[in-house]
Amino acid sequence: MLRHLFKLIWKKKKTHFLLMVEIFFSFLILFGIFSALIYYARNYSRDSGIKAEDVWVISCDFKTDSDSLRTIYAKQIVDVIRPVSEIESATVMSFNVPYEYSSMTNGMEYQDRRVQAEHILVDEYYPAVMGLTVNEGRWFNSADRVPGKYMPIVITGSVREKLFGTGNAVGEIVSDNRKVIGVVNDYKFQSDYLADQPAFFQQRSGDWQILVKVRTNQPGLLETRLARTIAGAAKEWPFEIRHLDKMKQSRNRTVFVPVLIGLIVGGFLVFNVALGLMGVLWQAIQQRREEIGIRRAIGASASGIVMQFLGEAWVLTAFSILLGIFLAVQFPILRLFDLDAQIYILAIVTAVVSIFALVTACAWYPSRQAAEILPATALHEN
Amino acid sequence: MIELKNIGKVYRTDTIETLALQQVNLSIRKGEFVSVMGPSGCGKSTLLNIMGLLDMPSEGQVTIAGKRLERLKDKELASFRNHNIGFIFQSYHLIPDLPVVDNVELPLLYRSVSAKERRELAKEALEKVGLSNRLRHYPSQLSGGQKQRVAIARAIVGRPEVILADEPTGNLDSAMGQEVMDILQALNRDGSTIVMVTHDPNMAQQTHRLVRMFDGSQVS
Repeated sequence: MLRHLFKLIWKKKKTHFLLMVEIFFSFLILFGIFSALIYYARNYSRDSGIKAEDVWVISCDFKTDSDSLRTIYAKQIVDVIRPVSEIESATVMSFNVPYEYSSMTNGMEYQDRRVQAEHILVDEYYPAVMGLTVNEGRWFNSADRVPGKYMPIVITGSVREKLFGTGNAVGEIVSDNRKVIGVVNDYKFQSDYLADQPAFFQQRSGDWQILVKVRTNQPGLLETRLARTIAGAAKEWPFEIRHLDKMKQSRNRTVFVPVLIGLIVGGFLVFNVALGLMGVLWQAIQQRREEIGIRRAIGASASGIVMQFLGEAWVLTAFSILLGIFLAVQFPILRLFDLDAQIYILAIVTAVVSIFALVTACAWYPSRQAAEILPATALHEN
Repeated sequence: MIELKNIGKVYRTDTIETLALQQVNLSIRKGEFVSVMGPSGCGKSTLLNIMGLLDMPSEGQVTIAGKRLERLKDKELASFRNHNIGFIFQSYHLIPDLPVVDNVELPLLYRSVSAKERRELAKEALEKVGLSNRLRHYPSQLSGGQKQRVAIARAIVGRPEVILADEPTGNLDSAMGQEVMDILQALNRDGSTIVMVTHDPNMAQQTHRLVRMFDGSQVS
């Protein structure tokens, strides 16, 4: 029967060309949608490595370009807010706060491997505020502030993987003068939907931002009190208090909204293709009433007719998506967009299953209609 | 072989009720060649459709090869048609996208017959109708007589006991019509039971028995 279906389709290849093009493009659209969805879903399901809840960011404009002055001023602020009972812990860090749009990157080299990583300046209290876990080695302590031959750094899991693979990382020297003293696991600092970007931490002064971990049931009241306290210590410095969880939500939205728009547009396109498919199949079946009549007369049951038309649609789909699969397979082979090959493979499989489901859904109703054609009527129409 | 008892057929729409057949009783023996004649619209084709299980009677009983058929389910009816009945139509009803040999193989596609066996049986059937040299031709490349011979090959490829022919010579000139008639007679001699609807008295004369229809009733 399959060979029979091939023959029928091959003979009508010109008629089916448009249909095949529609299915081909639908497949590519679905492949794109599923690649994005799987990528974002996979990232979302992974632990970010940091906890944004109850973390507030205090940004002060110290009105100076001096790093050392900024360090002193930031310490003054921290010293006045640390005694507040609702403050669990406080830390100071560089301007590239998680979920902020600011970024500072540096290249890191180890033997012949190289990675571009986010360079984050922190102090000893950062893990306590952000809920960061050190998996190997240790975090910075006050002794690390003393300048030495090597600058101590803590790297994230993705830097570890790229530079050291499964080998030892702690104690290794990277980029000639940096010594790895610890490894933290994941550090998704951009968005829950984005992949864990390589990053490393250095204990150093810089353009400081103050992060505090709070413990309160009345955040509004605490924020007012905190603002008053800071204003007392920093009369000439304008400051702003932001909530890290809200910054995270906002950043997540900026990633997710374009994806959602893409999904809606893609879904609309596929829906249009589905309508087109149904129309073309419907017309094709109407043109083949005589054939349906004769098939019924010589032994095809109603379900046999349904299966024949569904079978033709499936064979046509298989032909149509062959080129699409060939193109899609190039993405993992060429490592396009630097995504994991698994994402593309899963997207290909999902797109193939979906396109067959879509074609089946579109072909089902016209096929049922075909099966309901009375052979005696169809044979007497011609 | 074929027993029709008190067959009646009414076509109903929302507003109109058309009586196509009433109280038809017909018994056709195995190996008989029966022709059915009558004016247009007298119910000949309806009768043939009911015998061929393409249509169900509104009342009465249909028995073919000892089996009561009016209560069978769609799949059972399809299988029964496939194994027991061959159809020949006035306008051939060949599938234009398939070559002759594939058209002839069609009934075997609905049985569990291997591709090789299907091809052999189709060639054998085409040889019987004198078209073994036209296997790869498409219907559009054949004359009317040749098309009808392909339709006959398709009707006999599954070796059915009954062949139902609805005006098989209606679209052919007298010479080609006679060729087709000769083939039908040869099939009948080989044991096939044939019921043929025709308008042509010359063709009807060549059958064993003539059934006349008028206004939905059997008149002789």
